[in-house]
Formats: sequence, structure tokens, C-alpha cells
Amino acid sequence: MSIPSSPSGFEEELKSLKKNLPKRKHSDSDQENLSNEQNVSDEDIRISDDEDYTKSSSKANYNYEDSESDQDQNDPDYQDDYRQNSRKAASKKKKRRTGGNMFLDVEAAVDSEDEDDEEGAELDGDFIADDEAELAQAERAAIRNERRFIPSPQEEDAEEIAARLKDRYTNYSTRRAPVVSEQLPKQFILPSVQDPHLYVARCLQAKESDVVFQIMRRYFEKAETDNPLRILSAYCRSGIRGYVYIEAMNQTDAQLSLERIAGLTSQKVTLLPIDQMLDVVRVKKKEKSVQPGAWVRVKKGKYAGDLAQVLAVIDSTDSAELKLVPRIDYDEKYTQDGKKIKPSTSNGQTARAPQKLFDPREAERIDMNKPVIPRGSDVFHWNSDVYNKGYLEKELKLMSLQTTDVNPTLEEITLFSAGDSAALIEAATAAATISANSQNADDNKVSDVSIGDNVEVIEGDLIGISGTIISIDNDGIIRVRLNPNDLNKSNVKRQPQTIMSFRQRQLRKLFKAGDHVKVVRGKNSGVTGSVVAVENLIVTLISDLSLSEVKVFARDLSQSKEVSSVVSSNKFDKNDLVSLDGGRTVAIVIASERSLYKVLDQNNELLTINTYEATAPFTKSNFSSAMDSNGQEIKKNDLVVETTGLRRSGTILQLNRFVAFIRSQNVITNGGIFSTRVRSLALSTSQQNKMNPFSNIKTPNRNQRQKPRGRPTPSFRGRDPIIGQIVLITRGSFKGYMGVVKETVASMARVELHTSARIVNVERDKLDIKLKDGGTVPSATFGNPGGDRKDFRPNSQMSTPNSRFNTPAFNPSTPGNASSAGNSWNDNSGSNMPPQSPAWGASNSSEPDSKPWGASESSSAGWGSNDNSANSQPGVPETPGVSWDVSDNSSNQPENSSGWADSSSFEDQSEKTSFGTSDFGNKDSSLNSWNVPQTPGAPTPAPIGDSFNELSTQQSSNSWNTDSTTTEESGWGAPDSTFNSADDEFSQGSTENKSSFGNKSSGFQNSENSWGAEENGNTNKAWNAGQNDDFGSSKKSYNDNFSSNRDYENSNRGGYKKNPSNRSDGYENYNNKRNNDGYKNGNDYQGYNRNQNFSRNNNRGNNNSHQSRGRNFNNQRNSYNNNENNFGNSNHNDQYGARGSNDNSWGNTNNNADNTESSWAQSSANDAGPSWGDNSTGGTESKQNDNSSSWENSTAGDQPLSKENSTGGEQALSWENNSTEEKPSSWDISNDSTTDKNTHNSSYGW
Amino acid sequence: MRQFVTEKLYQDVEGTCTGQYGYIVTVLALVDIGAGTILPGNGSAEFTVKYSAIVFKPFKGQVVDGVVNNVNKKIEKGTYVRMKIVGTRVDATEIFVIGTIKEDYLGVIG
Repeated sequence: MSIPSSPSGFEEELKSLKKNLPKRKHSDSDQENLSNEQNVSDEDIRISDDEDYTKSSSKANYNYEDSESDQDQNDPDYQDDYRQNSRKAASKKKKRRTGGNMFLDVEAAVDSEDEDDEEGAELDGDFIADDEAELAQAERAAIRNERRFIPSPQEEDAEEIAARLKDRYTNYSTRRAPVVSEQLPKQFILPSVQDPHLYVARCLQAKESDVVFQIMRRYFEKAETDNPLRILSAYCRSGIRGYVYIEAMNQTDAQLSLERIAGLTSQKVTLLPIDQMLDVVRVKKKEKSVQPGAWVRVKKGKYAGDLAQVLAVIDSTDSAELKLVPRIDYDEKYTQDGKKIKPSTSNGQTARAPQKLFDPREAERIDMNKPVIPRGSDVFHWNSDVYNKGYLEKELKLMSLQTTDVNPTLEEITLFSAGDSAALIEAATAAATISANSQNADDNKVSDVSIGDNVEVIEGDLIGISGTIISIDNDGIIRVRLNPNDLNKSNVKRQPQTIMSFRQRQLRKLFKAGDHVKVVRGKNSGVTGSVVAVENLIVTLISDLSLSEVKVFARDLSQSKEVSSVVSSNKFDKNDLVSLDGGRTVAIVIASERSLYKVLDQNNELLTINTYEATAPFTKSNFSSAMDSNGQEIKKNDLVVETTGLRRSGTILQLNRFVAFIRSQNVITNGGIFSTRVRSLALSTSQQNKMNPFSNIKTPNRNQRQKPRGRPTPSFRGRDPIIGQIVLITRGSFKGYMGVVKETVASMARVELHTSARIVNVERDKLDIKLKDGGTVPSATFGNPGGDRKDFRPNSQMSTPNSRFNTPAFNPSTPGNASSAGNSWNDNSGSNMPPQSPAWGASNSSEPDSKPWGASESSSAGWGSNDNSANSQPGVPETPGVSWDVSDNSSNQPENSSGWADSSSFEDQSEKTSFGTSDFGNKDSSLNSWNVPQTPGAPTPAPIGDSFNELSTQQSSNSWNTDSTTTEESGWGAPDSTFNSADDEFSQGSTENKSSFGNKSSGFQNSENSWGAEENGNTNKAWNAGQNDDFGSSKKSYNDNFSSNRDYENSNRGGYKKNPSNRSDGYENYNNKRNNDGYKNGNDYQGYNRNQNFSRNNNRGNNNSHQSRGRNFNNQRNSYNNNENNFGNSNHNDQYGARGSNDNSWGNTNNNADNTESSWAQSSANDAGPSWGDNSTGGTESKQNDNSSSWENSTAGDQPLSKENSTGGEQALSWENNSTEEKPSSWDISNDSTTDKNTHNSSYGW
Repeated sequence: MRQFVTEKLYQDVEGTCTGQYGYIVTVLALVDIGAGTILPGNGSAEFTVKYSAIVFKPFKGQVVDGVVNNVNKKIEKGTYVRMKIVGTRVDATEIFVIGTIKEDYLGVIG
């Protein structure tokens, strides 16, 4: 291969080439072309690529030369660099091309033009025109030629052709449309894979340029040989040491160029990734010239990061003379061999000496070998450094300085002012100016100013004039309304224009003493305060919170009306709860500033504390809740109202268990926040429900029970009982799902479903609690206040029925609650007489057997027996009968008289006493009622009747009497009958009772059921227990709370009936268990139950009060255990009634005289009650009959009871058992009681 | 009743500060005691009372005398100074003022 060479100059060559171009092309034979083709094509491609690169014409349609003029302005260095490169490359190219071939010629022509461009712009116009014409011609020829070459693909593959064509045409078009190329964005000229690559070779440091020169020399040497260096360029960068860059098409070429070049550390060359090529040739923007007085930062060395002021710029060495605050370690320590020991911090890093002004004496002290040489006043030379007025003056390379974004702080500048305020201001001004300048390098940006700011003009004709910003335009123009006063002062003439436009650098913010401002930037950012002083650019303000002085640059301030409450990022934020004094005090953060909190403590006192005094409260404040005065749970953000004092209302901001911090709209102090005890708050939202006791009437048990108390018992104390329970959702979209209650809020419960582990919100009343035994209870009835709940749970089954029947039982009572129990009873009887009476009647009817009654009567009989015994009457069983008869008689009915008489006698004895003591006052009405029936009845009994009546009336009157009076027949009869019937047909009785009495019946049923459920064998007993067996059962029942309730009921009866025998046992049992439970749990419930057992009694009891239950209990208990207690209860109870009283009587008898009296009265009343009622009531006949029957029963009573029981089967058993078993004990008791009674009686007048 | 309301007013109002009127120095007279309103759910009653009072509200430019309470420099605590108010900041329950003594006839007095 021969490449023709002509070492003549470029120009010559080019011209000749151009001239010869067409001719040569044509004259060249195909052969030649072909023969040259391979080589040429190879070279051509490369050269064309090279041109691409230098001109960047290939893809980018960009031409350096073309764009030179433009580029020069912006980026002369860059351009220069490239131009040099391109020249170098071009020179190489041209040498290579001298051989000339048609292709090369075409390219060369183009290339030459480039050169022309470079050299003579004046020729440009003509030349280009010519050139273009010529080019077009040449192009056509070339294309023609090329067509000829196309058929020989074996020599030139399609890609190359394509590349070449493309190059040519792009070139061409570039030429044609140079304007376009100017507009091209820079990224189009980035090198691509098709461009030559850049290879890196390592060389010795500082030998880079040597290497490059060697390469260049070699290039020229070899250029004319057969084996030229095929590299495009070689260069090095002054900033990059130890590297030489070689531009070549492939690695081999680059490698070859480095052969036997001295200074290289490695012959290996590595390819530079394309994306780094640009970085290698990029020219750093020339550092903005640093002006003396400017603030800069030192980048490295001992003073890295320190602020420095430029004193002078030394261009020759690219360095600047700086003023620094020296960091001299005056306590330098040296080892013995003279080496310095560098002080180090704990983490091993060398510690810097603090910034401090130079002290010549100290410096001299360090090392005697380094004298401090004074050079004039305040200037010292020491240790090869110059110190002027204590500042270090040092020359540093500009390279190692940070000149932008210096942002000196006021503190740093203060160091330079050396305490001289004038100097400080000067320095600060300089700093502010510099930073402002750097900030506003882009004039179109406006920062830190806002409309309404007061500004002062600091530049231009209007300097010193102030104004207010009225608008800020997007292009950085700030329109300012100038202060006319200032304008007048200045020399602006005539009606000055008051609104003018400025750039930000022409303005500075202006503040006056007294302005309220906020710091918007810097260390004190967020602080608000009042300006107290303005010294040029530095503003002193007094912080609102800490009342401490803060100095800031005016540019960091803005006018503000707000008073910030949170300034720094303290540990606690505003409105956070903190604890002080080691947790003794809680407080809420009202404001926080650096190292200070303003807090409001639990006593509503405002304190300012240091941050270290505040510690986090023990509980996570986000999750804390507390109970308000209603026992409702209150949480953060709840709306509450004070229940005392000022009754302020507001939202809870924070609370712990005892104290709540509330924000109220109506409070002006402390930002509307005040603290108060949680207990004096009430949840606003639940007020209505709480106020209206009947609003929850739907909910069966609990609420009703509570209502009679009239005291707002917390519905839940502590944990909601349904939390954690497995529930069944009964309604709604989740109907049928099971889950666990996770949380409850008011009427909603959050239930975690078993199926999907989701937590859903469900209303409480849509939940059924699933009990351990498989049953379910509506959530509303689940769980009771107080300790009952626990007791209930185990027997939940039992409880359910109980609760059920409790509820009904209550109904009668509820109305009664308003009035006293007696009234209620009366009311009931009066208002509800028909229903009740039927109820009673029903019970009566249902219980025609009157066995239970009989039993009770028998108990009365028992009583009688007791009495008898007490009275020392051997015929105990008979006596009751007699007594009954007496009573009956008294009631005008033979049986009754007899019963009455007896009762009277009986009751007279005890009851009188009791009456006299306890209830008389109460029972006027009842007396009346009683009296009425009685009075007509028998004169003689009348006195007894009186007493008795009274007693009965009291009890009965309240409860019984009403019943008895209005529906005495039914009522009394009912009880009797019920009892009787109960004996006979317990089931019936119970059922009927249910229907009629509802409560009672239910009670019965329940009891039955419960009993049955609990103890099959006992069911009978249960019943019995209910009546007779109660004791035994009761005992058992005792164990079970529910059952116990029933038991109670039962027991009452049973007690009645079986009192003598059973009582002792049963009672005792009762007492123990029930008393405890009942008492503890609350009379209501158990009382209830018992009452229910008594149902009638209960009713009365309910009516009267809870205590009635208590009595019942007590009665039982009393009789057995606590007489007194019972009594206490019984006082109220008395009204209740007969049965209660019966019980009581039992207990009473056992108990003290007073008690006994009352109890007695009651008991007697009870006993008598039934009989009495029967007797007394208008339904005399029927009652009488009942009574009679009852009487009979009763008379048979004790005995019959057993019979009845026996007839009853269940009962019988129990009865028998009871009677047999208990009699002795009961007897004893009864004896006691009887003795008491007797005494009473005797005293009274028997 | 009137007596009580009056007493209560004196007690509650004197010495307090409202942003609107400034510090209430003393109540001069009760103009009117309105009809009381019993607060629902609470036994207490509310009376609207009109009264006249001497109030003190500092304004910008006002010259006031004061006692130095807290000192940064130069001035001693307890000194009586006369200053001119250059700025005020009014809160709901207190008023802050910035004063200057850097003018003629201002400064330490007495």
C-alpha cells in the first residue's frame, strides 16, 4: 500500500487537492480505486470519524469551527482546548491524507475549508459560496464514484458505506445550514462509541507533558513512514497528575504510540469510559475572581472550614492573602527528640487548637528557637507566619479556598471584629454584601423578601431611601413604594415617583426598634421578638419567650405579628406532656425555646423551666385514658366539660390518670389551656344518656337496678367486662362472625374476627357474648358492676335466666322506685292492680295448692310452732293453725279469724313489738288498709289487729297491704295460693307465676330451671328449696350465685315453710354464702333474686328498697347469721313485707329484740301476711277460701307441708328432709326467736 | 347581692390586664349590674356588670417611668428610669413594651 505523501504545507496541498479533485477523480482508474480501496476506506473512515470528532459533525451536525464564535463567549477555554485538539488532529490527518484519493479529496476539501475558516474569517463569505458550489459538484462526482464501488461489497462492507455516506451528508447539510448547528444543544456533541476512544496511560508524575511531547515527536517522525502512529491526539491535564491521554481508534494504536516512551510507569493503556471522556477535557469554569475584603472558607489544612477574609489576590501564583484567626496551640508538647506531640481527642483525631488571636508572648514561650520578630506596630513575624493585630495573614492557593456559599455567621464575623463594634459592623456589612452578591448572582431570583417588608435602597441614586415592597415579579423585579418623606429629604425633585422597581441587591431589609420580627434563617430561626436596636445590618431583638437578646442579620429577619411558641427542636413539642420533679408534677408544654420550656402544670401554674428539668411522662400520652366523673372513659381529643367550678368545656389535649389539660375556646390565659382533675370532668357527648335514668330502660338488668339508687353508679368500673370475651355478632354485615372483643368505646366494640384476624367495629348490642359452656348472652346483659360479675360468670347460664327474671321482677319495682317501696307497691297494686292482682291471683290460682304457702304458712305454722314453742305451747303445729284461724277470725272469716287470732296472737306478741318499734309510722295507709279489713273483722283482734294490722300493714301496707288492700285477695291469696300451689304444683305455680307475675313465675321457673340445671336431684329440692328445700338447695344454691338467688327466693319460702327445721341449716348456709355475696355484691342483685324468690316479697322489697332484699337475705341471714344487719335492712324492709318479714322474723327472732320485733312483726306479718292478707283483703271470701286453704295447708302446714311436699314429690323430699333435718336447729332458733317473741308478746299484752 | 357582686368584681378584675384595654388599675364605679343568669346544671349565676375603671395601656411614643427589674449592662437594678416606648406587643393577658432611653431627657431619674 502506498500512501502518497507530499510534505508540503497544508494550504498548498489543499489547494492543489481541490483543484485536482475532479480531474483526479475521473482520471483515477477503477483499478486504482479498487486497489486503494481497502486501505483508503479504512483510513477514510477513520479520518472521517476524526473529522466528526473535531468538527463534531457526524451525528451532532455540529461544527466547532462554526460554533466557535458563539462558544468563545461562553466557554473560551473549552473551545480553546478543543480547538487545539482539533488542530492537532487535523494536522495529523492532513499529513496522512496527502496521498490523496478521491475520497480523501472530498473530505480534504471539506477539511481545508475548516482551516480556512479558522484562518481567515474575512474570506468566509465568498469562499463558502464557492466552496459550496464546488462541493456540490464534488459530491455528485463522489456519489457517482461511490455507486461504482457499491457492487464490491467484499471490499467494503455495508456499514462502512453507510457510515461514510452518512458522514458525508451530514457534513454537507451542516455546511448548508450552519445556523442550525449553532443552535444545537451541547449534549448532541457528546462522544459516542463510533468516535475515537480515549486511552489512559500512567506515567510518572510531572512527566505528563514530557510524555506528550515524546509522543508528538514520534508521531511526526513516523508520519511519513509506512507505519505512522495512528493516534489522533495525545494530551495531559495539568490538574491530573500521572496520566496521559491518548486519543485513538483502538487500543492497539494507542499502545503502539507508547512504545519506548520514557517516563511511563506502565506500558498498559486502559480505555476511558465514554461518559468520562468529557470530564477529562472539561475545563473548569474559571473561579470567580475573588475580591479583597470578601469572605472565603479554607478547604483544607489546619484551618479547614474556618472563615477567612481576603486581603489581597495574587494573580501570579493563583493565590490570595487571607486574614485568619490563628489556631495556635500554645501548649504544644514536644517529645524528647523534638517531635511534636499532637494533642488528640478521645476518638483519636487530632484536635485543633481553638481559634484565638495571636499572642506574641505566649508564642515566644513555646519555643525559644522561634523568636517573635516584631515588624512594626501590631505586626509580628513568627514561625514563618505574619500576624497582624493578632490575626494570621497567610497566603493560600485560590484552589484551596471556598469562595461561594460562604455564608459567614455573625459569630464568625464577630471574631474578626475583635470586639470592635464598628469593625464588626463593617465586617458584617462586608459579609452581608458578599453573600448578597453571591446570592444574587442570578438577578432573577428573589429570596428572603416578601411583600410588606420594609426595605432600604442601598444602591443607586436613591440610596438611603426606604420603602415598602408592594409586589415581587417573577423576573426578580421588586416593586417598592418609597417612603415619600425620605424622598422629600433627598434631592429628588418634584412629585417623585413613589413606586419604583428594584432588584434585590439594591435593597436591604429595614427594621426599626419596636418592630416585631421573626428570625427566618440561621441558628435562631423561628425566634420571634421585638427589635430593640438596629445597627446597620445587625439587628438586636429581645426574644418573646426567653426575653433574651438575640443578634441577627437583618436579612435573616422578617416582619411578623405572630408570637412563636416553638422555636427549636427541643425534645418536647408544644402541647406535649412532661413530668417535672421526678414525676411528681405533670405539665403541658405551652412554649419552647432554646433550652427553655414554658409549661402549665397540673395546678394551673405557669412555669418556665430548663429543658433538662422536663422528663417524659411515664405513660405514653397517646394511649392514656382516664375515667371522668361518670366513670366514662375519656381520652385525648374528647370533648369534656367541667362538672364543678366554672364549668368550662373544651377538648382534652393531654391527660394522664388524674389530670387533664384542656384547651377551651373560652379561656384566654395560657393559650386557652387549663388543667383540671379528671374526676371533675364529664364527657360532653354522653351527657344526655347520663342525665336521663330512663334512657337506657331497654337494657334490662343493670341500669334498672341502678336506677332505684338514684346514684350514678359507674356503668363500668375499670375494664369493660366484655373486653376479651369471645363474641358472636348477631346482626349487621358481620352477622354470624365470631371474634374477640379487643376494645370498647361507648356503644361500639372493636372485635377481632376469628376468621380473618381483622378488627371490625361493631355496635355492642349486636354482640352476643359466648360463654364458656357454649351459651350466649347479649352483651348488654353481660357483666355486672361490682364484684357480682365474677360470680356470675361461672354460672352464666344460671345467671342468664336470673337476669331475665330479675328484670321482670324489677319492672313492678321500678315504677315503685320513685316512691318508697311501699308506695311502689301500693302504686303497683293500685295502678297495676288488675295485672298484679291477676298475677297474684294467677299465682294464687295456679297455686291453689297453697302448699308452698302452706309451707310458708307451715313455716308460719312453724312460726306458730315456734311461737308456740316460744310461747311454750306444745302444740306447735296446731297453734299456727289456731293462730291462723284466729287471724282468719280477725279477718272476719272463720278460718281467717282463727288464723288471725293466732296470727294476731302471734304477731301481736312479736309484731306489736316490732310494729311499735319499726314500721308504724310508715304504715298508716297500710294500717288503714289493714285496719279496714280487720276492723270490720273482729273487735277483739282489733287491738291485735291494730298492732298486727299495723305490722302487716306496714309490711303489707307498703307492699303487701297495697296488694292486699286493693287486691289483697289476689295478692295475699296469691301468695298463699302461690305458695300452696307451689307446693302442689310447683311447675304450674311457677309457670303461672311467670305468666301472672311474670317475675315471680319466671323466678320460679328460673329457679326451677336453674335448679334443675344445676342439680337434677335437687330440682325437686330446688323447688323445695325454693319452698321447702331451699335450705338444702339454698346451700347449694349458695354456692352458685344464681342459684343462690333463687335459693333465696326459695329459701324464703322454704324458710317460711320449713323455717323450723330447714332454716337452721339452710339459713345458715344462706347466710354465709348469700350474705356475703349478696351483701357484698350489692343488695340489688341478690336481693333481687331473693326478692324474686319471694317475688312478692321482692316486689315489695324492691318497692321499698333494696334493703328488702337485704332483708330477705338478712332475714335468712338474720335468722341465721346477721340479725342485726337484716334488721338494719329490715327497717325499710318492713314495708316489704310479710315474707321478708317472715324471713326477718326468723332472723329477727334470733336477733335482737328490736330487730326481732321488726323482724317479728314482719315474720308474723308474713305468716300472718298471707293469712292476713287473705283475711284482711276484700277478697275475703276468696281469700278466705284461700286462706282457709292456706290455712289448712298451713295448719296442715308444717305437717302438710311435708305432705304437700311429698305430694309435690320434689318438694316432699326436700320437705321431708328439711323438716327432719332441720327442725331441731330451726327449732332452737325458733325457740329463741319465739322466746323473744314471747317476751314481746307477753310484754305486749298477750 | 349587690355587695357581693361588687366585691367579686373588684376581686376578679383589678390588677388584671386585657389586651383591649390594658391594665385595669382600679374600678371606679359600677354602672350597672345586669340581671343574673343561672347557669344550667350549676347553681351559680352570672351577672353582666358594667363598670368604669382606670386603665393603663402603653402606647408607642409614650414616655413612661419605670424601675429597672432586670439588667443587661450598665444600668443597675432598681434604678428609676424614664423611657420612651418604641414598640409594644400586646398579648391576651399581658403587654410588652420596648422602650428607649437614648433620647433627650430620658434615662435615669430621681
